[in-house]
Amino acid sequence: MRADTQLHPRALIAAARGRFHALFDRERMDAELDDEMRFHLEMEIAKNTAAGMSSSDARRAALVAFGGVDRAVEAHRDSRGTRMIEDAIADMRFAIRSLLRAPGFVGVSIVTLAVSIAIGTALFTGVNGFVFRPLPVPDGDRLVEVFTSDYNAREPLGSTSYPDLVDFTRAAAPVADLAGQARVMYALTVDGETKLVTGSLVSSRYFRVMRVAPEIGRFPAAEHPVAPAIVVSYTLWRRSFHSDTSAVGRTIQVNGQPFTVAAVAPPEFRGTSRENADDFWMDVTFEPLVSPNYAEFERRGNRSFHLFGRLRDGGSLDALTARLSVVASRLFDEDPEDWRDSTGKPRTVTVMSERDAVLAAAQGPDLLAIAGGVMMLGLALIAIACTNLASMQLARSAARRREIATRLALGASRGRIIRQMLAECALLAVPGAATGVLLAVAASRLISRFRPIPLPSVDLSLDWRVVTFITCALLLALLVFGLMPALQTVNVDLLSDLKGEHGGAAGARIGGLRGGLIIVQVALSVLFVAASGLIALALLRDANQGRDEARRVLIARVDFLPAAGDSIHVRALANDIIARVGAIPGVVASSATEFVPVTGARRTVVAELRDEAGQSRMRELDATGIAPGYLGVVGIRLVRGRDFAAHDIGVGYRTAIMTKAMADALWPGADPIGRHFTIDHGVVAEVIGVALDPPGSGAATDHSYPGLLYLPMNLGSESEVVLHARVPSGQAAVQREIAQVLRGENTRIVAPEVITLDEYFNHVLLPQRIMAEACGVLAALQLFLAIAGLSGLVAYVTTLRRREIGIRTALGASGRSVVGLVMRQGVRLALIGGCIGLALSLGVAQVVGSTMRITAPTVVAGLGTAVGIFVLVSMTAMLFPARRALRVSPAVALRD
Amino acid sequence: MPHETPGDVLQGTLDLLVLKTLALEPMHGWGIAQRIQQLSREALSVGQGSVYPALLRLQNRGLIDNAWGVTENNRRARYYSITTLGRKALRAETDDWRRYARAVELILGAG
Repeated sequence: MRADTQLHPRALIAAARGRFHALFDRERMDAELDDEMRFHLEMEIAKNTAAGMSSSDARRAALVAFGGVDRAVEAHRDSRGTRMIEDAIADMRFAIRSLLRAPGFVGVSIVTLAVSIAIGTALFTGVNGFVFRPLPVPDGDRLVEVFTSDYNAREPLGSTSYPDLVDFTRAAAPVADLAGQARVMYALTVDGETKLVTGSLVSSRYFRVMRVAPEIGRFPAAEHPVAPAIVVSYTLWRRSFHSDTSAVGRTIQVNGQPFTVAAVAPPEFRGTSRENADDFWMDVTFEPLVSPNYAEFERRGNRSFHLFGRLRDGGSLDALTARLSVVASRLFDEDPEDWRDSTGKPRTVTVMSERDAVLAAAQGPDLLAIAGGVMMLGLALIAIACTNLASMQLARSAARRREIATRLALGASRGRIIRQMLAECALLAVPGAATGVLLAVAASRLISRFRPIPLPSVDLSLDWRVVTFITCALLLALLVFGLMPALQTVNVDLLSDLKGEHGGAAGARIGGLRGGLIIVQVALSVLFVAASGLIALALLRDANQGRDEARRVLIARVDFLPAAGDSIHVRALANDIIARVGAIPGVVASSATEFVPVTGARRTVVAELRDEAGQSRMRELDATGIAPGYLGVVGIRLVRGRDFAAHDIGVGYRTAIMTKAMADALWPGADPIGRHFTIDHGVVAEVIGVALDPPGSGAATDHSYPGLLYLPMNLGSESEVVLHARVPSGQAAVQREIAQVLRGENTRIVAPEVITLDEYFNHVLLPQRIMAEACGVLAALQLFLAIAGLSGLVAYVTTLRRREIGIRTALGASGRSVVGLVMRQGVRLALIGGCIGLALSLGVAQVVGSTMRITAPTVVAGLGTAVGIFVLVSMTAMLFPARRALRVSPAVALRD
Repeated sequence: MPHETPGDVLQGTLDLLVLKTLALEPMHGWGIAQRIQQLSREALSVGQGSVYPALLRLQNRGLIDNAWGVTENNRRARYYSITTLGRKALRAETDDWRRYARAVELILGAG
């Protein structure tokens, strides 16, 4: 019956006006109501008096007829329809007042929340950018990636050769625009300073397919460009050109050849690889200019290119796959050598959206594990911060038992008190979270703009996924960590709390909730301390192992330019440089390797061994090519046999040296010298020497087989070598001399820097170092939280048991037994948490062990240190408040 | 959210009675309470105080309006008057009430 008038516009206006007045004009409304009721009562009294009642009877009758003034006032207030809002405002006011009395608590809570939410958001944004979001280019979700399968028929999502790319691009044209990219490393000379820089060779339609707009300049657009041009990344422009806007149009040297800077890419575009950041892009047409092996990309067998594409309107993945498959089967017919895999079947073409390809092409479960791990870490951080908040809230509410009991006794409903405590929680959570999100946004802006670390092209801006994640995490946190302590708080024994008693020893038992929180914090802090300790120890061990040797070795990466000529000239030049460096006073010996054998740099060969019975076995071995004298230069001792000599070089792999670990694994208990095996189905090689481990091998490789195989280096056929020189002392001076020798050859080689082998190892181990530092920070944060929890607990127990302590002291209890009394629970919780933390740490040791070499003593030492630190710090933290128990004067404690 | 105090007269009924009273002439709260009691020949004993929440409810629905005025014996009082929307609502609600009462009467009479 209300419907027809209720939705009338005038009714709606009236309702809104009524609520508005009720909220913002409350005092006037109350005053007017007061006036109105007073008038009412006076009229009623006057009526009653006129009817002949005495004045006191008239008043009583009037009040009875009215039916309770307070009730009417309350009913009137209820009818204003703003009760909930008014209550909420009152709750907020009260919460602000009570929080202002504890500024330390507020500060710690907000900072903890803000920091953990900022870190959590950043981690989540990172994972989101790397795994779930399309590349940060216009319509990135419309990009597709094209793969061809590899020769082993094992990996369907492999890369493609340049001739295939050309054929594919032509065939795909009606439905999609294709482009390809291959990663290269060239020496860029800007203002006379030469640096080795990684970038990509790209097909000419690359930037058009990506739809990237240049920051300055213009992307080369010609289909077959003639003038050598290069596009540089924003980061390279900032670092090497000092953000000079006139950089476009300037000429720089790429591997000694002049190139014109055509454009600067926008800051967020670092190429199309999610793992590596490109610093320049060059059309593949110019590759012969800068590379001595210029025909390399013309072979169908060289599968260096990653193919991307953009579907045209109306084009579909299926249509594109169909067209490319036709090309593939034609290529199989024309060029079976390169289009047949090892099972004899034609290789296949796979097309999928770029975003899906990230997950599909991930090497094994690594990416998912890392992404999941990082996300768990982010969530754990937020959870920990909330745990901390809840724990502090519990401690505070314990101290406020009396206040709460009083309010309950005065008739406040439990719901009302819970609401009020939730209001306090929200007052902490909202600013904390807002600060955290702001921090994260600011950080992501700064990182996207200035790229302090070489991040690849990933979208790091906040999006709805991140916002949803944060909102959900926060709501959950608020509910769980605000509601749980609130519920526990109202669960009080009115009588004893009002009297200020706590039911003796039984009442002083710590709630399971609070105990649980402390256990979690202790476990996590032990875990993080152990993890950072483990990594730090592994780094330390590695830094000491063979590092003295490494400090005595100077290395320089030398890239040969096309001007160096063919392989015969390159070999002569390399030998000449090695000899000249060796002749520098202070250099004891000089040599060269293909690369420095540590993490990340590896080459594997397939070795086929035959035993006496003629049975053959295949082994995949890590190998590196070395020049004669290398082992002596880096201080690797030959335990048996001889080093390579000049006549071993340049005749194929007829001889080999291996580390003891490898020899022991291949021929356990037998003498390896003189044994034969074939390498990569080639000639038969003879083992001529057994060496010890190379220095700096602490960073584990994901060895398929232990040890390292040294092969005679094919000087001249590689476009780069790493020059090694043994310099027992005065490295700095010799460093300059070597640099000068190398600079003298700068028309034929690029060698940007001479560093010690030790510096090189430090550089290689940077990710582990960062991980150790990050774990250290987390460990400190955790330790702080756990300590706050434990000392808070002891302080709480001390307060609760004041009376008991007083009695015990009066009866002659010793100081030690009193301290023991208040610390017992804390110690028990710390023990439980510590054991859980230790168990988890063993798992962490496994994870750390997958990237670094960790021995059992390291694990024991790492975990031992973690436990030691924790015991020391937590005991101190608990003893501090426990000392207060000693100061409890029996007289005072018993009096109140 | 307006919520009812236990033991109150049916909220809608009181609202209807107040509206009916005001349809005759503008009136202050006490006068409304008196009029309801008189007209119902003292049969409806409404707590006089509950008139005020009803007045606020009606006002929030835009059915009545109020203004401070002066009584015959020169006292300041708040006078309530019915709005056009209020008259419309009164007619509709009176019809509803009659239909409802008749239905109840029929059922009770049938026994």
